[in-house]
Amino acid sequence: MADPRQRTAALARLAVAYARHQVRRTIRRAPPRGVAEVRARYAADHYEHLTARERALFPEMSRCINCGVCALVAGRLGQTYVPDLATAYLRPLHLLPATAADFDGPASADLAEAAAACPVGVPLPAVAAIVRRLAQA
Amino acid sequence: MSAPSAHDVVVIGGGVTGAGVARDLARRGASVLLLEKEDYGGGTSGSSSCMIHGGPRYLQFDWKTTKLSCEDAGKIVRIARHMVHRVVFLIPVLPGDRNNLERMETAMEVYDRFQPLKLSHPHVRLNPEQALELEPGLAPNLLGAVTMEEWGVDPHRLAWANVQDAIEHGAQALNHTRVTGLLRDGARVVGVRYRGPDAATGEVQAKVVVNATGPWSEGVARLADAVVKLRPAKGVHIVYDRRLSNFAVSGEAVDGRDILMVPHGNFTLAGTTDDDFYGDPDDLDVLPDEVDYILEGFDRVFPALRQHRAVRVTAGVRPTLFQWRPNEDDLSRRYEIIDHRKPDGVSGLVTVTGGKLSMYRLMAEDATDLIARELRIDERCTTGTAPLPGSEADLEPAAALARAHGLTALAVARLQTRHGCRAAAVLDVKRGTSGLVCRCEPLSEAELIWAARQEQVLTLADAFRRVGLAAGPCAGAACVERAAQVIGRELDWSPSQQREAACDFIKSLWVGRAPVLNRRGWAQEELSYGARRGYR
Repeated sequence: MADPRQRTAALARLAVAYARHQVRRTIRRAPPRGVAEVRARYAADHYEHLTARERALFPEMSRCINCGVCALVAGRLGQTYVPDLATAYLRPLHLLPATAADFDGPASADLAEAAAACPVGVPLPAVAAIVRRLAQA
Repeated sequence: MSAPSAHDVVVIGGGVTGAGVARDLARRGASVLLLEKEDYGGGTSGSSSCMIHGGPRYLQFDWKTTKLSCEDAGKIVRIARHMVHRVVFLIPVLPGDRNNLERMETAMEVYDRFQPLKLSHPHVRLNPEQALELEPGLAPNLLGAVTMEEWGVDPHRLAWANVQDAIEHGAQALNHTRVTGLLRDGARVVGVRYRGPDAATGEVQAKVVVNATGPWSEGVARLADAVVKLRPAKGVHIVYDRRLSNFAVSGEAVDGRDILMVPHGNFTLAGTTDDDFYGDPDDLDVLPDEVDYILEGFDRVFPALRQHRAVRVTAGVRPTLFQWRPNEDDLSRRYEIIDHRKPDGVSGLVTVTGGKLSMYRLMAEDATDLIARELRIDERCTTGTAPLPGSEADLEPAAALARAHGLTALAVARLQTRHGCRAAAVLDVKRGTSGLVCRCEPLSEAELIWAARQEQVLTLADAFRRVGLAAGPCAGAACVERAAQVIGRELDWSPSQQREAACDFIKSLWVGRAPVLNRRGWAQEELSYGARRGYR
């Protein structure tokens, strides 16, 4: 624990800050600065990744057990092996804007068929849609 | 195994603090030997929350600590810019929380005064709808939220970068080398006795021995009949295999403690527990109760967490300074530099203990100032301004580097978070023909070779810490044998040694995985077990 005098001083300063805050809120009921400010501030960091709908699907997308069956059924999506979509790309979402080149080239993958073959039900078309959307952001 | 027989300073402990002391001393011109019994950053540093934070919690106790912590966090952010990432918290306020929204915003208004010190922005206040729009996983009954910025870092890489810089300034560093005794000349410590990875033993003379062994520091001090008194605390985190939320989220556990869910590079940490620990820091179990405590806390604030797949747990012991009475969470995170000459009559031994990851550089500077006076070294500290290896220049575009080396841009972008502007040199060890060894991370063969040649990777577990081998969802199922071949080729392992290394690594991973496996996790374990029939 801190020195009792330091602690008393710290709490007193917080109390003053609280009183000032309440006065400010009473005089100037400014609306919360909100979503627009957060989005603008962190746009370069790519921290807002998924919509509510995509987020709801996310647990299903984390099911992959690395069996490799989808690699047998489907080919590549550009330069990218289909199994890597869920196990590698759908993880560092904030880095995906740097990976657009990984999806250049012919997309031979039949994602629906790969999803049908997946023993744990990873929704591969939805995974690919998110990854491509973020890569091209 | 070769350590010259005399140094100015021997530093015991290759966590981030010991590595920081070695770096500081080496940059001031001292001859330094760093000895680590396991691997760099493999103890308390590696099982931390991976945060460089200023500590708004300390505003209740001591504003000076918050200021110091923020100032030093700012220095770390500047010297390690390739390996830090901004962590933006949404702090929701729920009915029944300890702090209402006005008190929470007041705390953030005060903390905003310190945020520029670490290159961070002031808070933003959000109403419930706005908070849910930004972070759909939050509990829908929230009353509002505020944002707060901190920084995240890979503590294993941070520890290694400090070791690397120390080596580049003339220090010698050995991992898997355990100090077995202190050499004494009367009441003076004059060196150490050690045992290396090949079981060879040796002795090294030193003018000063630094005990930077965190929760092990009581035992090391006892070797010299000196006293360090700690109140160690165990902390457990659950690791998820991806970023589960757009923003970091904080909440209250059932006992009112703060718990955090933090998306880092390509994983999410949820935790932590904080319990007095009386056992052996080398033998840490994670109990189901500890996992349930964390999950129960997040049920209230981020209910979706239980649906996600945890891949492992981490457990570490904080070397908190001894205090009688306060609850674990109220213990100060202050640090102490102990010159054992005064309290114990033992000269030549300095212990640096307590503190937290965010303050490692400052702790190292204070300890080095003391040692420099002892050694009559006049050079001043430069660790707050000189960039760590990899942060000396801006990064090349990942896509261009990927094209030149035949790798995916994702693999290169991840590589750059570990090696910064030195990424091209790493890839050059296998130019154009590298390929991926561990696809989940993703980790290239070139980086693994580099780690074995240049980064003192001696085991597959070292590769996990240094470059993230098997840290992803496959937990090694798809990459361990190949990695053992690549590292084995560099370290002259026979095929049976490669197989043994793979078995040992899989067993060590299991310890961290068992407490959190769900249905899918067990399916993967069975698949992996089937593929490796005959492993014992």
